[in-house]
Amino acid sequence: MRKKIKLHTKIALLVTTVVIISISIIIAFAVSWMTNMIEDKARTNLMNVSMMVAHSDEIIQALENRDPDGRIGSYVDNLLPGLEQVEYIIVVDKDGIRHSHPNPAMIGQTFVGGDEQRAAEEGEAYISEATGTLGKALRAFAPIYDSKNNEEIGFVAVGTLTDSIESAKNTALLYVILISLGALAVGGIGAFLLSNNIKKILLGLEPEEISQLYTEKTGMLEAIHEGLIAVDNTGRITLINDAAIEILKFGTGFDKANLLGQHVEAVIPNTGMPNILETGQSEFDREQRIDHTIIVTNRIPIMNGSEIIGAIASFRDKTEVTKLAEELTGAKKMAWSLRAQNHEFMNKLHTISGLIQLEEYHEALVFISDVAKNRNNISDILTRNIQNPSVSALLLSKYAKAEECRVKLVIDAESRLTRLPQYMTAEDIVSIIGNLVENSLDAVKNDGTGLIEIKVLQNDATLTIQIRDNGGGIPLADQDKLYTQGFSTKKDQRGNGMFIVKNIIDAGGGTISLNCDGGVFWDITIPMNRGKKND
Amino acid sequence: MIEVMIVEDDPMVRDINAKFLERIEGFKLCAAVASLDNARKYIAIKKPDLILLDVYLPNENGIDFLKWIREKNIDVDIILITADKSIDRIQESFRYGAVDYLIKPFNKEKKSKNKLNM
Repeated sequence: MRKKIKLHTKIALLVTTVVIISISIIIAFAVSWMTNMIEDKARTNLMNVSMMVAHSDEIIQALENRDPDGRIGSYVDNLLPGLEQVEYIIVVDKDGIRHSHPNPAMIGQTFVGGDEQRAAEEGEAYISEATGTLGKALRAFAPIYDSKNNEEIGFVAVGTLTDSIESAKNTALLYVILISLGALAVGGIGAFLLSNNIKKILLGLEPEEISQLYTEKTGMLEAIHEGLIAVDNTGRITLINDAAIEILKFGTGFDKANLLGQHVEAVIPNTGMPNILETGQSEFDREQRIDHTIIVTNRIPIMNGSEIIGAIASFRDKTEVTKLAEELTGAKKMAWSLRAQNHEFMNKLHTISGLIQLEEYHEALVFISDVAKNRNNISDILTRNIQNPSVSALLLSKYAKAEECRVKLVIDAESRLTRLPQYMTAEDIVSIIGNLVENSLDAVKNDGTGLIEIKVLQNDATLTIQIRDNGGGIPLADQDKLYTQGFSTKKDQRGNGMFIVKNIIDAGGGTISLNCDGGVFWDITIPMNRGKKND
Repeated sequence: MIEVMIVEDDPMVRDINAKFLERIEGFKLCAAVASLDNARKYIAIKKPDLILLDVYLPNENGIDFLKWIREKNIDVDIILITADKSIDRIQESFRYGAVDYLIKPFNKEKKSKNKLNM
């Protein structure tokens, strides 16, 4: 398989290529422009010099007099050092004899080149390229007229060797190339720094990895059952998934698009997120009531080094969590319950068998009759009076547990439950009774003296639940903190039980009162009808 | 005379077992307790030779008591009394040095036979 080029290498290569192409185009233009300019300049320069010499009074006079004292040579010798890119100035008289030449031996000899006719014969000024005695040269020809400007008395050829122009061009080219290499180096370093910077920003991830992560993140956010809300450091929502919208039961008009960017407190007035932004402290397994939903939430700050840049909350509907937990622990509880009941049953058989072997027949009969009576009583109450299967099952399981713990649990014969208060579920009632009876089972003694009494009364207006035990009661100092989440007098307990009980009763518009005279007496009243749900 | 302590939370079962014991020659009941806390307390005072230990006690487990006995190096024989025939539990009790086990409901003949085989 072909190895893929990494993003930062690709960026570096791309930028470098762009720099190289740009520089090459610039070089091409610059070189073309400069060589043209150098040649033009050389031509203009040659022509200017030739015109200047052709019009020089000194030269005209010397030529008219046939230059007996070599003044033309001196003139040219004086002029040449001050001129740029002029190799030679050859002044020729009308007979074609040189009066000046860089090589003194050539003075007095006939001009060579073959391109001088237009100047010598037709009096034209022009530039031509030809090979003379000094080599291939570019030369400017200009006719020289007498002082009256009537007759051509000679011409002047001002030349520069082509090699010298080429050399000037090459020098210019070298400069351009050097500058370009410098620019290329700067461009290359820039490309490297840019690619490294991009790599750092993208945490070293390749584009396909980023796109895969994005797809995974989106899929994950929507696949999980937990609600997720993230906020930035100002408390504005930056992320919310479908599960969050479903759990928080936002009404119509609230979709993901219009929730994003809103302040979290505007959407969830009692949210704990601003507190996380302020303190930077994570919170786990906190229960919170939002409207009619109780959620279990974890909130953690999002940190960039030591700076809090946002917070994220994950939460689940508590009812769902409870249901899940019950599903998971249900089998275990069932096994425990069966074993406890088996133990209890075997104890009873053992007692009957023992009494018979000890020939205490009357005691055996009394024992059998007591057991049967108790069973019938509880069975009657739970099947006839308590007509909700969940509540019946809870009471039966607590009865069995109490029996196993040597605690007497009495369900008042007058107890009655035929329907539930409006907007309350069987799980709510199970949660209230279950938590309170568990607390009582922990509070009373296991030596046979422990007693728990339960009474569930219902009429058209109210549901009353009364639970009494003869345990140690609750110290006055603890009574105020009872319903605070996290408060527990028991070891290894999370302190959620009474908080949940109070929440359910409050949501149902009911009341709970506590009397600790000789144990604990809970008296709970919940109205049966409440009108509209949001009242 | 072999001194016996009964650990059993059910008062009726405790009474029946105590009465069975009284009818077996050579054995004497020195204590009958309902919880492991009391068992720990009375084991030091009464120094029994044998303990009849119920495995299931409210919020407690007889096997844990057996482990405690072995940790403390207390010289006493233990017979476990259980309502189930769980092989794992019985094997575990033997690992911790229980001399025998009885499954409820049992009769006084079984109890005396086990003790005489000790």
